Amino acid sequence: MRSLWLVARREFRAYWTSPVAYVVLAVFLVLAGVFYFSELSQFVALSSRGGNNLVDVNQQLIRPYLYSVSVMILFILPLVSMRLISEEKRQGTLEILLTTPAPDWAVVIGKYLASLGLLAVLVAGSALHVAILYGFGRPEWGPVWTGFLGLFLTGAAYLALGLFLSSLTQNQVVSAAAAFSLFLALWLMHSLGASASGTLSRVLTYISFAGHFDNFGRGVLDTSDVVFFLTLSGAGVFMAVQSVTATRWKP
Amino acid sequence: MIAVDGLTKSYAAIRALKGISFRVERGEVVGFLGPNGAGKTTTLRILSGYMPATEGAAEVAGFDVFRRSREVRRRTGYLPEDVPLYRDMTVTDFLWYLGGLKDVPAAALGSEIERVVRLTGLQPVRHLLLSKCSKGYRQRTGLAQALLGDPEVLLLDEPTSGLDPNQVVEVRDLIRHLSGEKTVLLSSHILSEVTQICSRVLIIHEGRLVASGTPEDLARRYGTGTRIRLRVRGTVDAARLAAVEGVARSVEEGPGQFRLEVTDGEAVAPRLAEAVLATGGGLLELRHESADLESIFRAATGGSADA
Repeated sequence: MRSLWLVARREFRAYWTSPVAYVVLAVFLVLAGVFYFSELSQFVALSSRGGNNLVDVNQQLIRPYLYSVSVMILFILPLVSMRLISEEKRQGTLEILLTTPAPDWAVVIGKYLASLGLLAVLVAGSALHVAILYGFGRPEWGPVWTGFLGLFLTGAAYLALGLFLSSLTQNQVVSAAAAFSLFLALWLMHSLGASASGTLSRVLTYISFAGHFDNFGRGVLDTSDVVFFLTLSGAGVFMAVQSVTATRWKP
Repeated sequence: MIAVDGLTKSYAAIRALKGISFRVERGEVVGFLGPNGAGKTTTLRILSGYMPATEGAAEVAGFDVFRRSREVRRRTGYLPEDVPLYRDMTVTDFLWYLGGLKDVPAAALGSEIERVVRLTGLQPVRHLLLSKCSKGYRQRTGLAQALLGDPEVLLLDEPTSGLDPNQVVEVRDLIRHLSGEKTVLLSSHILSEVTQICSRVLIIHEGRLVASGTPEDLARRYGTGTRIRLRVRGTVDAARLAAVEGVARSVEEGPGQFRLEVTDGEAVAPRLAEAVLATGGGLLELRHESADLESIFRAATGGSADA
């Protein structure tokens, strides 16, 4: 357990001693601000046209904003996950880590926790925009909570899969590109599912991240959506641990 | 303390180790000698628990390195080749991190870090980022990391590479100082270094153990006293030198420079000097060439199949 926290703490600090965290955070917050501004202007235009009783700040401002942010993290998180294990492989420090008595799972999960920490910072940053709304009105709390929970869970699943991909290569560019392709594919399964039919359609819709995320955005906290993201996160972390341990396997 | 039995390692098409066996007893400092690509790093990686062997068995500190990897790792300090470090950490932060991962009790970690910093002479750079440290200090940080937690066995892959001559002497002294209480297996491709630090030498070539013994043993068997270099002023006939009793072969390597293969250096040298003076030449230099790694390899890999 001690080694788990040690790895997590070192890894989280490493984000901030390199430019990674600052660049990621800056790009993310600027883009989130742009999206927020455009959603907000549309919302203002809508409400001045239609009168107060027709507009719903949760459904017509916060939900589309969260949707935009969820698409953004799809682009941003490969930059967070790419270095997790690839970097250690390239530097050779994995050899030092794996020859300490620390168990392999502690090393891998420690790194994952650190990336979740950075994700939490990103999600908190994107929540600032929504927080401002409470200064001017009373958006309903429920969909806001579930929305940000959904954002975090989606990100956590992305990061776990990115962690696994990062364990397969020592090249960070390859790691990021593979992660981005996979994330995009998982997100777009929804539209594929819509054009397919029968069982295939149901399967594609089920594995689509967009579909599960949308429920959170609407304010619906469905156990199956939570289980979906947690299962994928668990699977990603499990595969990453196996992939790191594999160097010790007898051929 | 270290027992290796028929170790084989294949990487895809290459057989890096072709069945090597050896033992290192408690308290011994043993040098692993061989050219690059001989299999030194592969062997150390297997012993450190970093990767498995294809075939064969190895035990470190009484535990099988494959089945009881964690027990082995708990008792082993390992300095990997090229000393991979986190460049974004300071020397002390790095040691805190590694000490924690090595299960050094939190309460004792501070004094343990003091100890290894002192042993390896890292005081001047302790608060410096590793990216700002010279190669010598990074090498010492790697060594300090291996010493953390006072492990019984030390596996050091080229511990003195990249150090300047003064630092090399310091590190050698440090390792020599450990002999008796620690079991040390270190690799090197510099013969003179191994002879200075180690009580025993294992010579490995193309994945096979070709010779082992004390440095004196090896020198006697393969090296010193068999070659003399001669530099003279004036003209000396190579054939004349070859005629001196005990000289097997005489080669003129340049104007006034000869290389002589001799049977018994001690006895031949005075006779050679006389021969040079007798021809009216001036003797500028007469030198026994000490055995270098190359000649030992040639001798060890060339003829006998006994190793």
